[in-house]
Amino acid sequence: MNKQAGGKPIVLSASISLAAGVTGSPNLDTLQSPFDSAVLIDEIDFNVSPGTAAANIQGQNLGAAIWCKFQMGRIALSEDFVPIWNYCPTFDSLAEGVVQTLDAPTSYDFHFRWVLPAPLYVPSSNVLQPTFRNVPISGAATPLSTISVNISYKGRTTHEPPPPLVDVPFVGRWVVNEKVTSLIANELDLRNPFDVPIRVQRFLGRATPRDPVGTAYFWPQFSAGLPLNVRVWDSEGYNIANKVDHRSIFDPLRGGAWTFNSTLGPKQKYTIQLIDVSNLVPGYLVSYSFVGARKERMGAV
Amino acid sequence: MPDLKPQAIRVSPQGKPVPRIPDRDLGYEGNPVHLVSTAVLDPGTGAPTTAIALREPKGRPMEIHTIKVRILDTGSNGAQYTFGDAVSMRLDLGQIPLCGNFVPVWVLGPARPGALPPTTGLAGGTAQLQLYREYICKLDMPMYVPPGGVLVPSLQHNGLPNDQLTVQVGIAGRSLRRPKAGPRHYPFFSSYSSPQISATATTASMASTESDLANASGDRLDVRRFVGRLQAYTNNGGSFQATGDQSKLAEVQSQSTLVQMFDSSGFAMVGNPTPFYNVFSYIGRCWETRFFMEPNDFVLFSADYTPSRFGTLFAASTGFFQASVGMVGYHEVSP
Repeated sequence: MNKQAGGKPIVLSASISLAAGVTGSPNLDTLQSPFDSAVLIDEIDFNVSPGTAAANIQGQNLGAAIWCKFQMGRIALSEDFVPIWNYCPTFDSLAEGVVQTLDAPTSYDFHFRWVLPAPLYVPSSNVLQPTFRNVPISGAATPLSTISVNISYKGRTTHEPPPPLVDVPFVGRWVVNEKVTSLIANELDLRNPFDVPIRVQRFLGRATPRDPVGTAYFWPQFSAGLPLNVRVWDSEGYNIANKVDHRSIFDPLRGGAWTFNSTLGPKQKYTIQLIDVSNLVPGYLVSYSFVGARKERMGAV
Repeated sequence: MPDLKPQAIRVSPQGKPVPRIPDRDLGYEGNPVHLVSTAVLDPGTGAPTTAIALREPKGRPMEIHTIKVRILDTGSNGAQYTFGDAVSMRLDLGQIPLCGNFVPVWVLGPARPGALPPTTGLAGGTAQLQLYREYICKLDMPMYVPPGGVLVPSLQHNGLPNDQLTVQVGIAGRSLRRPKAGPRHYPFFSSYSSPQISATATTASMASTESDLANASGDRLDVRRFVGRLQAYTNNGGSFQATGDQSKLAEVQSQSTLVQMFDSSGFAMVGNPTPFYNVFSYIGRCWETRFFMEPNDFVLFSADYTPSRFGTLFAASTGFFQASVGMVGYHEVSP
């Protein structure tokens, strides 16, 4: 990782427990630099776990149950809440879920590591505020009552003034909530709402069963091996992916990510259409996102 | 990829001739080289590896790009005894310090399991795969070895497993046609391991000292990452092993192990008690950072362990739990 040396390394952390359907922010005092210095955040780590061992985490990835929205003054890192697992690629679907206890029922902690596309400059008098929401992902089964989230910012302190333009990460997302024959993202999903371009680093595609499936895996199961095909196109109608198997683009064993390395123009968007959705085992939650960065003028935040 | 073919004089946009970059500065000089040295360690013993095995065969200068350590257990117990704490290593290159002291091989990087073909039991018997774990460190900057010089690893069997272990130390890099001019960079490894915490302990505290995670290189140290590991071991008839289940249980204890870290000036690098794997990411087992440490500066690691969420690790007192931290940096040495 090519970081600029300088400043002192620092880890700022906080935690919060959320009941199903509840939204809240952790203690922001511990997420703010305790010294009169700005912070460059290089990486954000999440740890998500149920409050107690629960029978209904079997094959469900809690990264889909906790959604997060980051805000620093007027600067937002997304338009709306984004499932945590849509911020970063997975190292390994199995590695994300760490066994809590071998005693039945088996339960899991989940770790996510988001290395920001560019270090985020946080002025000394400001804090990057995370707001979390516990979105029950279960259907017929009883949803988890409480989920705990630990968040940590890793970076370094700096006494340098902010440059005129700073890089601010941005995440656009589309969460598929219903299963019909064919599904397509709408005008507010996967878009660039700004008047400046966004350098898109990668696309992420994730899926998890809504209900316990009795086996500890965290990637989608497709009936009879049939594909879930997707079509992806941009605002100009250019077909980026024309009816391609989801798994070949967002293979969970290879990060669930597609290194995109492109530019999304001002007010433009990507559109994803799910084709042959009936091939997807019923009761899955599917979500897509793009992660990138834009230039922002750092005045009074 | 630059064009290495002879070409006409290039001209800059201002119309001035641009000198052709010499081949030696393009980084394509020399020949790839891969050297391996092997040592067999009995429990509780140490040994240097065969130094000549890691010497450039023609006595030419060399750059090392990767250091690899493979631990094999050729006994019947296999990979559960090849964990990174089973063997500690010290690297020496003449007068250049590369390690604070003996460091566990996990400092090099995450474990990669593997297997070699069996050497016995092929003719109708029970063929036993040679299971191993490999720890690989791709150096951020090539390590220069002068002509005739040799990197000498010394190994120590820490006595946790009762098995004899075979340790292979490999280096990969390239030989050079001429000595390297200019400053040279060398890695520096240091580590701290907590005391063994009983598997039935309900609370424990651990703290490193000023000499554990310290810059003892004598030069300014460019620290690139901290490595953090939680490990649990079970006692299998007097021989401690780390199976996959125990590893998972140890990782669970991240929530029960709250970390604080301070540098030698008292700066709180991790001020708020933070779960272990929120500091050293579970994915990668490390905190990637970059900062400078002056000679004799140090980092203090402390943690409180309170396994109250899901009780103690094991039902019976048959093992122990341990938290460990490593530090990897680079220092510059003038020729």
